[in-house]
Amino acid sequence: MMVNDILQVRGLRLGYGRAMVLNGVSFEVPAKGLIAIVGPNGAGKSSTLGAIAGGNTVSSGTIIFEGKDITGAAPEVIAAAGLSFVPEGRHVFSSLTVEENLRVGTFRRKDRNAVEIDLERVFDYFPRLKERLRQPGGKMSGGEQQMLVIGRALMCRPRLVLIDEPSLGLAPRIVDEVYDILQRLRTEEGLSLLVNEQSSRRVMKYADEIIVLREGAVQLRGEPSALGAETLHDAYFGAGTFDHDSAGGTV
Amino acid sequence: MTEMTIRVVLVVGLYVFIGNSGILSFGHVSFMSIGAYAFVWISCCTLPALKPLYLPGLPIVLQETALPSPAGIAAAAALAGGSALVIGSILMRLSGTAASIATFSLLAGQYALFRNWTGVTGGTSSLANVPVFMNSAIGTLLAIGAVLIAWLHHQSRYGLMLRAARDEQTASKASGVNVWLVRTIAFGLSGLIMGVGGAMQAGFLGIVTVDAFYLDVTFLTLAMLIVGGSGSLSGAVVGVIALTAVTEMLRRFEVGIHLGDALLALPRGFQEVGLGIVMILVMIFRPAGIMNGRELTVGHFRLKR
Repeated sequence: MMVNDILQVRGLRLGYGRAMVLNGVSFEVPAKGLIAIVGPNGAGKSSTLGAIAGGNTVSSGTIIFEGKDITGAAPEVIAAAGLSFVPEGRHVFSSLTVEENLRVGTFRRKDRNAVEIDLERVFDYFPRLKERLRQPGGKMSGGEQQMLVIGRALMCRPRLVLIDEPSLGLAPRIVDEVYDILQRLRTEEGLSLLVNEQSSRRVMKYADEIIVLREGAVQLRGEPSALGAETLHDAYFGAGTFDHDSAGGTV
Repeated sequence: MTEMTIRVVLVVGLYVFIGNSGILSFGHVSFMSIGAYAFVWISCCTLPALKPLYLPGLPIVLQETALPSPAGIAAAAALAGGSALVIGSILMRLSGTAASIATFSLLAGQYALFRNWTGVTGGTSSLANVPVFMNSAIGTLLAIGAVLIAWLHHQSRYGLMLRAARDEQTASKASGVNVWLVRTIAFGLSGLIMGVGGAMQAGFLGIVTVDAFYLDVTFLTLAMLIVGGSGSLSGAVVGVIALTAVTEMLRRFEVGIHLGDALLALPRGFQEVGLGIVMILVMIFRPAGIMNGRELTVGHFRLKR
């Protein structure tokens, strides 16, 4: 455990009814780092992010954000503390305009003047949002909606942003655009990021560390460059399924 | 006309909660009822000697008061708004269908209570001699007031956060919205407007009875909101005008039109049937209501939130 970790997750256990989804998950996110959780469907990726953001009730374990225990706190309290969550599937407020969508995240803030500055900064990262200021959020394309929800998360002035499957349903070119912006946010704003992805291929290039989650437990973790295709594949699908002939390092 | 202004107040009151939160409420007529009785408690009666006879269970102080109508309206707003805030803070822990059903049980419970609390509400008997203050001018003024309050709420951050929670509850929480709080605020405010509507009704008819505040008016006002379009404030107002016009027209046809010696009249009861047909047609061709969620705008007003 490093002192400059912005988030520490220890022994997270969580279940829906009698079915256990997470069986003791531990990891940490370093300040200004980008950590990617990858794994197949049902591995517990979304449950992990939901638990950190306060939407899912945790059975046991602790979640420490900036040295404070936030386990079990209400989602809106966690958001106000500086941890923003972008749920899976681009939940834009479809009947609100782009501008209203962005402003919803700011009402808990006391620094009214800084809100306008932040709004400009979001437009700086996502110029397309400025062009669509008065348009209802629900009428935008998938990529624009993804940018809108990330922009909305930034309006809470977070230090850490959790994003559930930023690439879901987006064209590869848009995915690259989204990740390039996330990369800029890290270097220019000092933002820390924790993302979920089904496919590790995309995040290999950007992540400081990959965490492979399967059946509610961390199977493997490490720097992308240090992870071989075979170890990654085995962690993802289970040992002994790696097919050397097709060199299936495409998870 | 005067009756229509009352309905505008009621439907706008419904809109503040239902339109912005997306939760259907069957219980708001309870606050109309509370408002009407609050008006009676404060401003009844034109013959002050009647009050202790009607309502022997009221505190002596209230038995001896008969303040002018504005005080009665204020009391209606305060009591209905206050009780809506308290009840809302409990009910808004629920969401979706569970919340809707809970509001229905609120209506049933409040109705049963007022029906049997004979000393204070007169029970099943109607209270006459309530001061009549309504005319079309006062009604219009109050209706404009209700629309203005609803518009201000709609434009405010509380209205915006409420609609965000309606669109995407999870995401709104992640954006720091306290869903329970914004819903409770809207519930209280809409209860307050409904209470004023109740006082208007009492001060229009001069008679108050529990049965006037039950299922009939619940469904009529809900129908108006849905036909006009619950997605916008204009929809709420347009729905009242449209359905009032239709019922008024059908009522005249029921009475009959003289053509020479012949009297052409629709069979009795066609008013309700016709209303049903109009609603079905609107739902088929404009499922989101006549206004379809849009607002009628005059220029472009915006408030600083």
